[in-house]
Amino acid sequence: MLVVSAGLGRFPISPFEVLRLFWTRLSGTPLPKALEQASLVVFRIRLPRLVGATLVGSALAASGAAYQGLFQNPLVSPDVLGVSAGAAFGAVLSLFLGLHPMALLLVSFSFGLATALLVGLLARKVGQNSNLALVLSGIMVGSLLSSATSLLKLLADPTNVLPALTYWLMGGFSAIKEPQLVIAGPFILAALALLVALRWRINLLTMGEEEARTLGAQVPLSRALIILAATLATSASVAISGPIGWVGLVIPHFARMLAGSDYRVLLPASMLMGASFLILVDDFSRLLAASEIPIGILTSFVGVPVFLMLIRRGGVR
Amino acid sequence: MKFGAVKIGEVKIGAVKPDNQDAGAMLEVQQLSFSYGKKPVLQELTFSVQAGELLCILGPNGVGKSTLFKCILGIHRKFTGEILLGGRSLRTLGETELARTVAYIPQAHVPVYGYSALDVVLMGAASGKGIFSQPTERDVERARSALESLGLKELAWRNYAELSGGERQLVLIARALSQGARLLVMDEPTANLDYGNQVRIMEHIAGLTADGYSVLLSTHNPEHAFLWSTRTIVMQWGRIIADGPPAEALTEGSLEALYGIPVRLFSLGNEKAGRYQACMPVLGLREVLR
Repeated sequence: MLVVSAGLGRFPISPFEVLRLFWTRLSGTPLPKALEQASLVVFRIRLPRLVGATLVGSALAASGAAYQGLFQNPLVSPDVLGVSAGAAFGAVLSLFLGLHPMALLLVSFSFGLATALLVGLLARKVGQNSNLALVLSGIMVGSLLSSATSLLKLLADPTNVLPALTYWLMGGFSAIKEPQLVIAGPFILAALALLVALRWRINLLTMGEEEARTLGAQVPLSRALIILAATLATSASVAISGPIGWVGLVIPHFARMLAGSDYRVLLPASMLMGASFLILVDDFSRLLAASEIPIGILTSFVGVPVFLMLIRRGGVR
Repeated sequence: MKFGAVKIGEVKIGAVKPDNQDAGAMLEVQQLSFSYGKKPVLQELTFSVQAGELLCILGPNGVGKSTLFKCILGIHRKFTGEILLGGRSLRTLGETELARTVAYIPQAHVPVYGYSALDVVLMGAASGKGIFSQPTERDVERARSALESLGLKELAWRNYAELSGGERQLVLIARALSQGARLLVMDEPTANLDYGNQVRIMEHIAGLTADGYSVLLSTHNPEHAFLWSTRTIVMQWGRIIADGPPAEALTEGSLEALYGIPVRLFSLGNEKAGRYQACMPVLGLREVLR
C-alpha cells in the first residue's frame, strides 16, 4: 500500500520504480540520472507524508480502540478527554500569533497533553477519578476549548490568518515534512509500543473496574498507563496532521468485525487498518481534484461506503 | 413438591471436609464496620469461613451483603475492624496478592465486547503476571482445564455473550478457578437463572467445596441454604442476627421476621437418606397447612 501510494500523485511513478528507488537508496548505489526527479519527489515529499499518515492512522485507531475498551463504551473516540480540542486550540493559537511551523507543532502537542492532565485533575476533584468523572470533565474542558478556538477564529485576520486556521482545522498531511516526523514520530512510536505491551490488560479493564480489580489487574496503574499512552499518541498526531475525525471512532469497529474483540489481536489490527485507511484516504485527497482536498473532509466520504460494505459482508456471514 | 429433580441422597448437609493443608480459617472477619459517608452499612460483623465450607448469607435487599463482599474483596478499604485472609490482614495485601487469595464471581453478565469463553477464563491468569505480559501457552492450558473441570470443554471458542445465563455463570466460575484463589465469593450466583440451572450451578458449587475450596455466597432462596450450605448467616440492617447450621439459623420465625411474610418449613426425607427442609410462603393457605 505504502509503495503504490508513494507512486501516486501529480507526478506518477510506477510501484516498480518506487521499489527500485528504495533499493538504490538502501544499497547506496548511485542514482541513475533519469530517476533523480522521481527520487526527490518520493523521498522529500511523498515518503514523509506517507510515514505521517501511517503514524497518525495507527495512533488514532489504537488510541480509539484503547479508550473504547477502557471506558467500556464503543462510541468513545480518542478525543474523549479533550485532547484533540486542546491540541487544536494550541495550533490555532500559534497560527494566530504567527509562530513558526515547528513552534506550532510543539505548542499544539503540549496543549493536548496539558488538556488531558487538566481533565485528569478535574476528574479527581469531581469524583474518585472514576470513568464517568473522566468523560464528563473531558467533555466540559473540550467544549470550553472549542469555544476558545472559535473565539480566536472570530478575532483572526480574515484575509491571511483565518484561511490558514480553517485549513489547519480540517486536517491533512500536506504539511508533514521530515522535521515534524523527527519530533512527533518518537512520541507516537513510544506510545504505540506501550499500548501494544498493555493490550491484554485492556481486555481485563473492559470487564469493569471492580471486577478487574478482583482479578488482580493492577487497575489504577494499568489505567493510568493506557491513558498516558493514548493521550501522547493522540496529541502528537493532532499536532502534525490537525484533527482528523472518524478514524479513531470507526476503525476499531472495522477491526473488531474482522479480528474479534480480543485486544491481543484487535489492537495491532486497528493500527494496521488505521494506517492503511489514512494512506488510502490521503491518496484520494491528492488525486481527486487539482488542488488537495483536506483529509478531514474525505475520511467520512471514503469511510462510510467502506463501513457499509463491511456491515453487508458481516451480515451475510 | 418442587424438589423432584434433586436426589436427596446426593445432598449432604453439614458435611465439612477438612482436607486442606492449613487448618486455620480461610476468612476471618472481626468487628467489621463500614459506612457510606455518615450512613452505617455494616455494623460490627464477626464471622469466619473454614476451608471446605459453603457459607450462605441471607438477608433482604439493601442489607449490606454486597458491601460486605466489596470489603472482603478489597474494593472498599475504609472499613474498621479486621479482615484476615488465611491469617493475613487484608490491609497488608495488594490488588494482585489479594486476587490470588480470594476470587470474585459476579452475577452472569454480558460484557460490552464479545470475547470467547476461553478468553474470559484466561483473564483469571492476570494476578500472576506482570503488567506488560501476555498470557502464555501454559495459561491457556490452565484455562482449558478449568473449563473442562466444569464440563464446558466444547464451549471454549463460543462467544461468551451468546451463551445461556447458566453457562456464563459456569464460565465465570471457571475463571475464578484458574485464578488460583481458594476462597470464592459469589454475589447471588443463581440470580436470573432458570430453575434447572439454579440447581445445577449450586451442585457445581457444592462440588467445589468437596475439592477444598471455601465458598461465601449470598442468596435470596432459603432452600438453597438448607440444601447446600454448611453454615448460614442471616443479616438484617447491617448486622448478623443468626449464624449457624442452616436448620438452626433459619426458622419459620426468623424468616418471617426477615422478609415480612409468613413462611412454613417442611422437613422431608429420613435419617437414612438424609434430611432437608423445604420452605414455602403461606399466604391464603395458612389455615389449610396448619
